[in-house]
Amino acid sequence: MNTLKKTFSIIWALLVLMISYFMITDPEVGHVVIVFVIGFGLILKGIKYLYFYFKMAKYMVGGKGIFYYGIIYLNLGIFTSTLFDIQHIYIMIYLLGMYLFWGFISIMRALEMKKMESHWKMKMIEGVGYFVIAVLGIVFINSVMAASIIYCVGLMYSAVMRIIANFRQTAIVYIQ
Amino acid sequence: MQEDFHYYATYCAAYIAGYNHEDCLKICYGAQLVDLCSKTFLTKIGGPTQAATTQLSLEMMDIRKDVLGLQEITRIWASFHFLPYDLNRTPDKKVPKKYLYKYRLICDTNSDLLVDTINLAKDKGLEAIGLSVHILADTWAHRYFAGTPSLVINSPSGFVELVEGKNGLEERKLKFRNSPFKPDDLKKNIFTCSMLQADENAIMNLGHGRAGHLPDYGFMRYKYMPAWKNYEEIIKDNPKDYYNAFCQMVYAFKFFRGEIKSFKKNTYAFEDVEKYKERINNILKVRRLSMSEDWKAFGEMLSNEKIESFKLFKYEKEYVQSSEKSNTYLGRFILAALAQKSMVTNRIYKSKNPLAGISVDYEKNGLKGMKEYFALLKTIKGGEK
Repeated sequence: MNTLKKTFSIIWALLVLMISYFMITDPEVGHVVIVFVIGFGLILKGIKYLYFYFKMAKYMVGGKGIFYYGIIYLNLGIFTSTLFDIQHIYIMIYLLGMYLFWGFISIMRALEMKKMESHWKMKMIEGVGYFVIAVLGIVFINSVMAASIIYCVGLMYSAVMRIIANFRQTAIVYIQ
Repeated sequence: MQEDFHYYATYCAAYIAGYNHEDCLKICYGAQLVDLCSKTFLTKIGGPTQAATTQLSLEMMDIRKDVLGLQEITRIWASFHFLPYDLNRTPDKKVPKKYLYKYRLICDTNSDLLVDTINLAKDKGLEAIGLSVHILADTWAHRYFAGTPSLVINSPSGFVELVEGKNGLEERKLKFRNSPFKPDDLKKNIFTCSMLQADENAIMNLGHGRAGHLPDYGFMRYKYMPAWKNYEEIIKDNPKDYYNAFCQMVYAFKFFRGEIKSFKKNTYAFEDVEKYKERINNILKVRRLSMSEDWKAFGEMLSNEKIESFKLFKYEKEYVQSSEKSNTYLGRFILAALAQKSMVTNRIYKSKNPLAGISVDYEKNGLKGMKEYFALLKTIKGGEK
């Protein structure tokens, strides 16, 4: 990544951290923001697929399917973003599914590392952490505050990882 | 290709080229290690993780799918398993750059990069030789796929197996399933492949994942339609390709031994292998998931020695306990892996393709970039700064 891309990436991560913080401090607004972000995310995904079709997929065998994907996501996104009064329990189910999936992947990975006698404990802690968040989500499934916190913890983690990644040396050294 | 070819067949090729039993074992160990030297393995032995030559499936699931993550995946798979054929090639019709970057990473045999790979390994020890012939062999098995996640390149369709019948080659239906825990069923002709994902950079679209293990079986003949060839079909004749790979390996070994002055493309040691041709072709014809036992028997017949089975941690103790790691088997393998990755990344970067990341030329820019490569610098430049 060049410096410009790195700068944009860090600015984006800081923005996500700020938004997450405000969403935690005001869960009611946070709830609306989450619905909007999910709906807007689907619209973006639809646009991304359409862009991908015109830039790349139309040159591949069977690429037309991507065009239809784009249209479907776009419509789904527009539909979702109109549902401002969606019950937060559905959002919780979506979030729980996500955390359970990542928990499963991390624990499987830790077991694989353990099998190879490699350093596996941190990965296991990460996986258990995801599961703990998911369990807390089930316990507080009726809480709007919990939904906001769970969502924002994920966003904050992702933003922090993005910032750390930007400060890593990534260039490969070529020695003749 | 799998252990049967990378370990046992490599042993046979090295022996035919003139290496003794002990050297053959070291060479074929290096060749097979390429498929197992993951970040997890390197973390365990305390080696530099940048020397990873493969990724375990869960490592790939776990990696971040941002630009840096994709570059890391591309560096590993393009450098060691899907060596790009031509970094400046263009398709028949005009396509956007984004498409072109992926297209140029398609692997095929007898490329300039293969010559560079073989030359790089010359005089660097048996470990480097093993690593380089793994890459050579994979160019035959993995041709027409790219070592980067790409839907538009790596999503083939219309698979039909071609089997020998009364009237020559006859077509036979193939079925695919997505269950990663079930082995391929040769009786029912059902093969496991990665799931269809419409995202261009989804990990499921890496290499030949969507074609399952078809490219890895020596007996398999099939035709299919690759995503990138404008509806033209490809007939993949693995027995023929694997035989060519074997003969090209013998030729490469002769170059490493100094019997041939320069390694040339499209050149094979057909004459040296001729007397074993029938036996090799018989091994390649057998419809079985692994041909290790047959290759092993062939190797033991050649050398009259017992070929031990591959053990991943065979050289671990030597590496972990050594104070001079670069003088150990794994140390030399790691240096060879770093050198290969550095060279391929540099070639891709110089062709103005950003998919493998940035390559910093030490001669021009000095000590910049990942610190793990400085070990390589120390070995090549003798510690100079």
